[in-house]
Amino acid sequence: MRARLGWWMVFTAAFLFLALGALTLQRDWQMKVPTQNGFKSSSPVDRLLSENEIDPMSGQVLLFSTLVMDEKGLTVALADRRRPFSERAQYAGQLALIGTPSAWRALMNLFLSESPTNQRTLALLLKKVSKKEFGKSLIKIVETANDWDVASAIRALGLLGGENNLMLLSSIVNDRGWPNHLRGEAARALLENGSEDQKRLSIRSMGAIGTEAETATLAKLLHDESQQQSLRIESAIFLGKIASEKAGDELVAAFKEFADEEAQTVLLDSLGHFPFNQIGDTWQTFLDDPSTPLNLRTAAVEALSNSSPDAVPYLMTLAAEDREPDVREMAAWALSMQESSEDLGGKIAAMIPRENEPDVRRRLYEGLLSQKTNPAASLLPTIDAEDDPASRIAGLNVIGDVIGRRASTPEVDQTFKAELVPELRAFALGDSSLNLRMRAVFALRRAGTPEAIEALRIISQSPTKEIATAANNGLNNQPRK
Amino acid sequence: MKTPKSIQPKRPFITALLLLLLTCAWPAVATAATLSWGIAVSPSGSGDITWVISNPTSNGTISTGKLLKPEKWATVDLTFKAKSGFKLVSVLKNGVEVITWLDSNGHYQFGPITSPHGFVAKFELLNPTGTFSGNYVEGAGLTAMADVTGNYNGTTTVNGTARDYNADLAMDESGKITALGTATGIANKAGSPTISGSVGSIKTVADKPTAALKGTFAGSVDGDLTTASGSASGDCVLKTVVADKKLEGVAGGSAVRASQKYTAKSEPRSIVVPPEDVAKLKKDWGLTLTFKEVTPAKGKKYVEVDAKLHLTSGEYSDYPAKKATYSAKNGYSISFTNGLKLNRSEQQIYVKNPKTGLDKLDRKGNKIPVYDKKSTVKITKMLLDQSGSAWTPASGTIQYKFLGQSGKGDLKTFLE
Repeated sequence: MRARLGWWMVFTAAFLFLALGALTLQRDWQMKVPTQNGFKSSSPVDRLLSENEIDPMSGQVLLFSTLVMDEKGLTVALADRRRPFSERAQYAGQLALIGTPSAWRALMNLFLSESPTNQRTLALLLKKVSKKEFGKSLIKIVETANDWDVASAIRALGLLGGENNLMLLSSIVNDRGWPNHLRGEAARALLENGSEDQKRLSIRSMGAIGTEAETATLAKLLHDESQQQSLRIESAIFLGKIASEKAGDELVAAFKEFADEEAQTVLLDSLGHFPFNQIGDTWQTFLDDPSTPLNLRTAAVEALSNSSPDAVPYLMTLAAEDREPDVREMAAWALSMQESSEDLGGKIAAMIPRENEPDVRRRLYEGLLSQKTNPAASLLPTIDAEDDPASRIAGLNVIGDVIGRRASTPEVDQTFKAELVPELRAFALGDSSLNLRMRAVFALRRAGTPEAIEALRIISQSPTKEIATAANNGLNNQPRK
Repeated sequence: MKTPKSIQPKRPFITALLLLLLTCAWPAVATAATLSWGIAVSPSGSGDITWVISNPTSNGTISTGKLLKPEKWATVDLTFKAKSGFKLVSVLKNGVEVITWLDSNGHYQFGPITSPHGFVAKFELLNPTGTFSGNYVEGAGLTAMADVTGNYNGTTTVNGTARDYNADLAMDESGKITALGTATGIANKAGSPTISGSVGSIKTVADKPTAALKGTFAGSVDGDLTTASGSASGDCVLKTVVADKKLEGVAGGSAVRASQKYTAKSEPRSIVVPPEDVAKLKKDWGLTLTFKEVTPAKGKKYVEVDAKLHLTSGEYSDYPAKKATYSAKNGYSISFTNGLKLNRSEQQIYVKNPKTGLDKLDRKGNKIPVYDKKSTVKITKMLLDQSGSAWTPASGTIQYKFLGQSGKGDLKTFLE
């Protein structure tokens, strides 16, 4: 029994040895097969070279027909799309060796007319054959040729890639001396092939150029979920700057494509640059929707600061009536940024005593400063009762403004002189935030009364450099007689 | 190409030899007794148990649970190590405490073993304590926040003429900017050289503080009455401009360029904010987190964290201590809102009577604190390491909102 078991074991071991050895040797043999011409067999160029018998080292095209053709013949053959790409690529190789400007132009046209896969193959082949002369010739075309050829060369350079070529395209995008359509072409080429910084540059430039072609390119990027979100957001910002009807439609459509609040805020901000008659309905629906988060409602209202002046009545309604203090505050601030043909001084002043939130009152005070009339005299009791520092300083700026406009009353003048100037001086020299202290200086400068000037003289000695400088700047103004 | 050793032909000999030996040894293997040693970590992931078995020779690490299969008469080495933020409190062998058997490295060798056993290693979450501070450092991966409050002056070309400009800016806690300034030859409609108003805001766009500026102007340029408006945006920059309709193109960095078209002359111009003005932007802010262990009258100990945010304005937002939530997966999370406002001397600010300058009192005779309603700080996924008695932040994320801007960054980098 033991002897039989021993023989069985020896037999099994021998079998396993032979089987494993054979497998290993076979694998080894496969790995030792040399690749053709020493190139990786997966490269499209080498497949092309292999299939078409081109010597990649010398660039010589071995197909006899190409050797007997002159430049003209090669150009005609190159343009003949009935011929397979592999054959036309051989003509391209031979044409590259001829290397005249017209040969390069013919190659550029072939390059641009091919599919992306063939372009990549062709670019690698030409680079190998011509030792980068293709890129140089394209740059020469960009520098010397007519617009049509330049546009083609720009596209080809983008596809060819390479640091120098892309830098040239960046300089075209940056240089306002170039015609806009060529800058746009360069921007599109960079957007396809450039680095992230170059793509951002392209987006900004396209926003500045702002024709239909640029709008379409930016819109495509905006909707492309495969792109980086930061680039999509950048395109939204610059579509907002273009502010055409088409750009607006694209932004509205994109709003639903972005899930996160940050991106939606940017889109709202961009849309805010559009005329109110184009976005007003969307805005009202959005703000009236009870499911809209507060942050987005606030962002939407803030964005209206950039819309057309016909947004003002809607902003007035929001500032007076919205249920959320943050929204009322932002509407009041947006009003201060708007240029209304109507004088809103009286209406804004009427809203202030009715408003319970000091932050909203502060913005309403700020809104009064840009109005034709400033009924500060009627607001004196309200301002005098303000105990929130920011609201109070904003109110004191309203009083300083009306005094500076010489539209105040004796009561306002007297209160300012006796009570408010000392208060503002103490505030400017106190330990509040730099922002509020600066605004206290502003109130004194707006008023420009002798007492205010004297206060500024004292404040100009403040150890806080910014406050001292702001006070000094006020002293350089003419004191009120 | 060199053939890898792993597939060289001599390998089959070794493989066959091993198989042969294994087969020959089979009767001995079959006669040995295999024991089951169940080992569990509680709570899962709170520690590692490194094991080494002499027969069959094997080793590994357990962080949740595992059934080991040592042979009878083998030795089993177990080493218990708590993960960051935990400590080992108990090792139960078949329900009996054996933690005292471990040496100072948490190691014990069992064996030669003769029977199956069950082990449970219990680790306890440590409550980190200490104060951790960080300040914003440019280029350290945190989103920058910018405060433009300050003075800006220089020379720029407006309407074909080089003009001196001088602008003072105040930016509030929401990022809204008011400007007061002068520019040579430009006067407001009342004839005053002082031009003032709300000019825009600073917001975070694509992780950068970005100025969105808009100006309207009614007055005179070189004595010609004009009405104009303009807008621009860029990386934290500002301008005092008289522009019309459209201001196109802004570039960021150390200088900002904006070209504009003037109503009367339609000539392109550009305004450059000098690098020295951009350098005036205040970006410095900081945060201090203090972790404390709280022992309640009833229930388990827990961690409270308070925070103090030092704003670019020089003021502080002081967030009272609150309980930090902990999960094994995400570490500590805590958010701070509605902080108490402190002045630049770190004194609490109370509502004052503006006439007397004295603190106002509520009905109960208490001072009324002023709250910072616009600033928030959120800490998530925070883990801490302990070295001796000292704790250091190991990882986490910080998100922050103030000055109308928002940002985020790596908490460990920030607090280092």
